[in-house]
Amino acid sequence: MAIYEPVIGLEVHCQVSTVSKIFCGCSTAFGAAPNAQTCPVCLGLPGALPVLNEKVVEFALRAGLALGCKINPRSVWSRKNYFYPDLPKGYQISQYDQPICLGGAVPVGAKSIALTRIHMEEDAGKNIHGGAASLVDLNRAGVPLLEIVGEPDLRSAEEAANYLRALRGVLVWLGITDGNMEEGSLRCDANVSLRPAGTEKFGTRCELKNINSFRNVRLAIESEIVRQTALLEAGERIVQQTRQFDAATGQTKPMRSKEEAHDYRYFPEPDLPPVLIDTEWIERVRATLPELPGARAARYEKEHALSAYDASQLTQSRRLADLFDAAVVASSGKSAKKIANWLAGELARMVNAGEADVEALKFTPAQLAALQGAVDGGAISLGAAKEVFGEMAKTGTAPEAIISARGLTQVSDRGPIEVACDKAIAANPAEVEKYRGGKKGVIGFLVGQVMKELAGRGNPQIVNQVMREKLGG
Amino acid sequence: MDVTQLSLSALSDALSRGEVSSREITDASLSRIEKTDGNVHAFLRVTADAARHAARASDERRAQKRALSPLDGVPLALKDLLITEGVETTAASRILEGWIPPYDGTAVAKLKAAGAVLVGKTNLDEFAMGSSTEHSAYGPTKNPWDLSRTPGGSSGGSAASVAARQVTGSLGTDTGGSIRQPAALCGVVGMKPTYGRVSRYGVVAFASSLDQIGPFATDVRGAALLLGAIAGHDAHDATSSDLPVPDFTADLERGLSGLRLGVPKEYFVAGMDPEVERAVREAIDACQRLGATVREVSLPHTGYGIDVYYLVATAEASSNLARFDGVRFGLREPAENLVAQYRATRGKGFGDEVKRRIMLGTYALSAGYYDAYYGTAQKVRTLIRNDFEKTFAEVDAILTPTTPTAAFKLGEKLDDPLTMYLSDVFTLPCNLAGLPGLSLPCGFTKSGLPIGLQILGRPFDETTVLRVARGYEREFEWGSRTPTLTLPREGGGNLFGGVGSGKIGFGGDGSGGDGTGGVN
Amino acid sequence: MAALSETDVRKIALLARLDLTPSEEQRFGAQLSAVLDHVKQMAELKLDGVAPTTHPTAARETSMRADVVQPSLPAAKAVAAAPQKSGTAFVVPRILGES
Ligand SMILES: [Mg+2]
Ligand SMILES: [Zn+2]
Repeated sequence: MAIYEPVIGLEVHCQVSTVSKIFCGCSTAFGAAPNAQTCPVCLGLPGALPVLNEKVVEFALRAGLALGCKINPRSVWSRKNYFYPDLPKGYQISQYDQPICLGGAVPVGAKSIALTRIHMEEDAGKNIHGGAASLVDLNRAGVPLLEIVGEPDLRSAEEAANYLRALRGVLVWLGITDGNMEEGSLRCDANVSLRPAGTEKFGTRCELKNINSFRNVRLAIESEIVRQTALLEAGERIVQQTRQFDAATGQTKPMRSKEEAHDYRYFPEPDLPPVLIDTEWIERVRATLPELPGARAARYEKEHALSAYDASQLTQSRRLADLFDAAVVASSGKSAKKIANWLAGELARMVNAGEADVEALKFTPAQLAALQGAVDGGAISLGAAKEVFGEMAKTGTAPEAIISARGLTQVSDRGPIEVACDKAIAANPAEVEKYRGGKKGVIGFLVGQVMKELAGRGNPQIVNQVMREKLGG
Repeated sequence: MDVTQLSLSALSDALSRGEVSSREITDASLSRIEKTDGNVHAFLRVTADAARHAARASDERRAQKRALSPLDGVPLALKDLLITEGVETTAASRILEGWIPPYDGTAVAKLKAAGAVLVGKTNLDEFAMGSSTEHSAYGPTKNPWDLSRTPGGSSGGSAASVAARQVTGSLGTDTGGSIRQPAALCGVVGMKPTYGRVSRYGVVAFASSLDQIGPFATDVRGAALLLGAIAGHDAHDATSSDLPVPDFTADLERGLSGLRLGVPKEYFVAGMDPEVERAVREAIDACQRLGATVREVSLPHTGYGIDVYYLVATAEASSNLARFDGVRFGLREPAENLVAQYRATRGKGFGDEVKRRIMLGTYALSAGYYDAYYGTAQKVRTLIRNDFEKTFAEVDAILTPTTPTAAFKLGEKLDDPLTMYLSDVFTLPCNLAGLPGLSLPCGFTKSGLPIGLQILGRPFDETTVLRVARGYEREFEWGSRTPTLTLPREGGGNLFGGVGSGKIGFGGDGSGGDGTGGVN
Repeated sequence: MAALSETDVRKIALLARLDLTPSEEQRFGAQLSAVLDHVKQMAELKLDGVAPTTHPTAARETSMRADVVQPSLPAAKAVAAAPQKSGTAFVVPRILGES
């Protein structure tokens, strides 16, 4: 029996972070009462005309340049015609044969997934189904989207989910979208087909519509692969269709078969002349592009000798990476590795434990540098510093204030340390005897007694040194 | 003085000199509508109360020397394709019956800001699709010069209302000749500005790459004043031009000398009414006598204009009219499921001609036919544009007949769409190329029907078009003739039927003439 | 004559969401065929290398607006003209096969 190889391509719809809609001034804010954010334009009233939001083009350029696309100097709007209640004009204003961006790629781990194109379009409204009628809310109608079409270069559900994660990461990094899948800011359609392993020709594909979480991307594609494999193994043909993933059953099911084959009758949108993009505009946008996560991670490895793991942890979010950079600067560049440990180690642990949220961290880069400075200067122990870090992350209180409020200052004065050492020596003559007899390891026990006496605040280096002196080397 | 016999610009002057009040001329206008519209049926709706209110406000401004514009206080009518906040707007279709828009279109808002008095909404071919105003769902408009004939279309109501001196000016829209053709058939001045000169925001769209709003007026200067009031860039229309708007009246009296005029040989075709041809040729000769140089030019792709037009316009229309789906406004014909409801609503709400054009446009765009029809048409459109571009390198304006014949009989072409379409053959190319064009009266047939001379200009050179028109007009003044509105015997009883009834006759549906114009 | 078959006419009518009576189907079929027959004359033109005119002279590049929120219509006004509504939502017959 043949072994089948899945061929998967994703089309991602991403809401760009503008405050107003793509063709009118209505707000894009989420959660308003039905149709409270509509006007003649986005209601599709007779006589209303679209006027392009310049910021949407700016965002498309940002995405295109960051992902290495070719920017089309003249891109054209088209109408995609079909009737549906959430589509008030009876057509969607989109881009068809002359999109704003062509080609490009998304780095996913070591691989690079090629893009076909990126284009701008308007979102539809929302149909709320129920009972004998459906309700239509057009607040979403006209919300700006980028549609990012990937080549069918993905070979597993896992890989597809990783691609989506990487793409989302870049788009959020660039400030193009909030990437919020629950509110529909990021949605994806997956084209899935199978072919006998080792062959070139694509099989018949099915399109899985509107998948709205990373988990569902994986589950939907996996179940579709299982379904298609079973059909092929039973000697049946795959029928090209549009399917929907039902999270409740974990299966995909065909969407209502349309009464006629779709014929979108695309044609150039006469109400919107072409978008002309000159090199000056491109360069202006390019100049504002932040360093991308991959480049940033590589720089961290090189400049700060960070491990590949730490570098990639730090570049999971732009906020985190920017925080890291600023803290390194605040520490005069001396403690990069240690600051990385805080963010890639302790903070990552807290995030995983649900104790912290990277986007809601309270402390400043200067505070993090100060905390590390306190450790380096011996003012507090590393253990105490973790306690301070946890508090800083939640409240943004200055580390010095936490240290003094909680009495975490490390004891480095020889006076009290000598008193504690003398006391430990006096109380443990047997151990002292063993040490002097050559069992040097016993010093650990004695130091432990000193630390207990000092409530854990003794500077370990000085305690060790004093103890060794008292025991006679 | 009989104010209804004054031209638009004479009214404007009289108002500014304080010789008449807006209230006086508005009342005269309303009463003339009341007396004549039972027969002409230029209006779908008269907003008498709002008009009187606006007239009073205008008189107060004039009294305080705070007139907003030369149009302050002038009664005007609007084609019912123009969207008016709070006043029913139907596009002469059943599918929009009763629709009260929540906003004003830009041209309407500009007229209001200029202080104009808006007396009502005029009849048209449904969704501006037609050349005779017979395709109105609310009954045809009649030509004031001969009530058994059509006023042309689609802006037939706006043209007829000016011809009948119910108003001295009005707005129409022109997609393939819908201002110039009825202006010619009704003996008034009508102008389509350059595509992009006037905002299309708030015009129920027919064909977006062709539609333009433009003025009808009794005289050329009146048309220039109206154009000046509505022209200019609009942030709500991405296709509106940001070129500065000149004073369109500035060059009107400069005369014709020094101008180079072209006469395209392709516009004098077999099958043309010889009376029309003779009147137009005489007008051209007159222009030469008045100092212009006239030469024959060639626009070789003229004959394809009609093909390009009927593919491009219907394709755009098929998409523009998709929004009439019975969900957010207008007619809904309930049915068991959504698709059936769409089909029933649209099947019932649209008239024959609209359905025919939606069908043609849908077909022209559909898979497998796009290249052969729509794609090809847009390329041929380029050739037509190029013809004009070349010609305008040599001449300052082009003179042609506006229509091949004078006004035709009601019903004459109704069942033969192709022949009806052919009546627009001289006006369509101007829209395809986006040029400014104007029609003004240049004579009458022996039976007393007006004949129109068309003047085409370079893009955004309305000034020269208006100068040529005025240069001709001031020698001949055909436009100052008014129809006697003699009625065919059988229809005569209605002429003064409206007087004293408190209602204004509307022909067709008899909807009320209260201030808001709403159906409620 | 570029005749439009009855099947063609029905297909277009469905695509355009128009109910046509049998007599309309027949009439439109003939009338549209006549128009299509007329436009066939364009085929005699040489169009290689000719760019389409999708926008007339005046509008070669779109103008744009800044990303600024403008007031929307009040929701009640937005739905005022709807044939059927529930609160401020539009109501349509249940869309079959979707949940
Ligand atoms: Mg899309
Ligand atoms: Zn809006």
